[in-house]
Amino acid sequence: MADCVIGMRSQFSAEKARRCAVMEKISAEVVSVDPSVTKRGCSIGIRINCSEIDKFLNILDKKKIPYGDIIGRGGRLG
Amino acid sequence: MNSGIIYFDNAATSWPKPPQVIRGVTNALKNKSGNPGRGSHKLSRAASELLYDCRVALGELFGAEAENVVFTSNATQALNYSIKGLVRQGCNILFDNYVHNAVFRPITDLVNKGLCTADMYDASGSTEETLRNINKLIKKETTIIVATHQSNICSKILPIYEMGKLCRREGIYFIVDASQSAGHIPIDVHKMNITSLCMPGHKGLLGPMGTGVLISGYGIKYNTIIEGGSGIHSLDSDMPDMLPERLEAGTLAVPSIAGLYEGIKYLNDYGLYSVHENEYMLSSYFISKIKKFSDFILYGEFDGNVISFNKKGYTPAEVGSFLASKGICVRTGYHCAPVAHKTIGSIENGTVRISFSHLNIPREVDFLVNTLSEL
Repeated sequence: MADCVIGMRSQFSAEKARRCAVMEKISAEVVSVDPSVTKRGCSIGIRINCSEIDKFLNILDKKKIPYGDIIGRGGRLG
Repeated sequence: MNSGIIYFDNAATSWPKPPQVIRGVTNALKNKSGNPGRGSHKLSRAASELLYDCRVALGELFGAEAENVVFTSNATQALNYSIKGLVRQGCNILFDNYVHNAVFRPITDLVNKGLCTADMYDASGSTEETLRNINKLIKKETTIIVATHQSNICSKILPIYEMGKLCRREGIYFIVDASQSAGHIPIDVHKMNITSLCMPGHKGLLGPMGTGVLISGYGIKYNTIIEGGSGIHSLDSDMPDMLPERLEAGTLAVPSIAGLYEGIKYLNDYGLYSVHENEYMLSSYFISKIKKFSDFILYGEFDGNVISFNKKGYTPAEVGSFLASKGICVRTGYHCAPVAHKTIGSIENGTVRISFSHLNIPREVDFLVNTLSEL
């Protein structure tokens, strides 16, 4: 399955989210998000395999880590 | 003793730095010197991860959430961010009579601009007296109380735990200047109800100069003092809402923060209580020796590692120059704290200040006292 990118609201949140993912054995990487994809310019996100998106979002919710849109390669997914 | 230098100026900046601090800086310069949060390449990511690790370490040391740890250039910047970031038009600020210019001047600036009023409370007595003095000054406009945790000219320690409880009860922001206490005395922002804890990274925390820290106890949204790039949401015209990015405009001093991180790890291994115990032992030893001479005047209180004195017949600068000629490093004058010198009765000429670190040894104190007796 393709990669998904979850937009993050801060550098700190992105790194925290990545570490939480790794703790739960989800492969995750902090990536820059293309400004053309967001409405707010340069941004940052976490790239994971789309098959793990629900599990990952549950972790973020549980840890109260704020996040933004879910972005696919080159466009929005949801 | 190190390189023929005996260093008693740790209240200005700590020296020597532990070897791992120097290694940490060097390693960051070599391997982690991408701009943090400004790219997804290896060097940028390494820098971002380092910042995160250091925030977590600081959060654990001071009982705070890592996301509320903000890196600044020094304690002065952290105090300016806190005071000017929390001030509201027409408010009243209370500050103590051991205050450093890093607090006194920003407050004076705000008063001179007509943004607020300010009153000084006397903190030179007991805990009960200090709280009573504060209570007498609190009015409905009072929104900020600032406390010097430990004076930088003597070792007077303010009762911040009790003051924090008072602030919480009254709904007042509590800003603590921990420039001389961070890394020397345990501090917990939540247990002490601290809104904003400000400290240098290069003193008790043993990091390099160019590092400072603001820890927000409650993640409050501060007004910004400096705006600029944050690496995120670059089309927004405002700084991000969230800490730490809200207060971290521009590129951070990653190599220095790498050294700070190593300093914190060193402190954790050594133990804060051991640090305080050793410094207290050295202070007590110096005082017991110097009191045997009738021509020395000691000022203020002695609860920690900072001692102010004068030698009769000599100005502080003369004493400092003489000690410097013998390889002994001290600080003389007002130490950027004229208000505090008024409080302890040394405003005429200031004092000679010695400030120990846990790395000093009694033999160095012997040499200092013997040298002073030769003057």
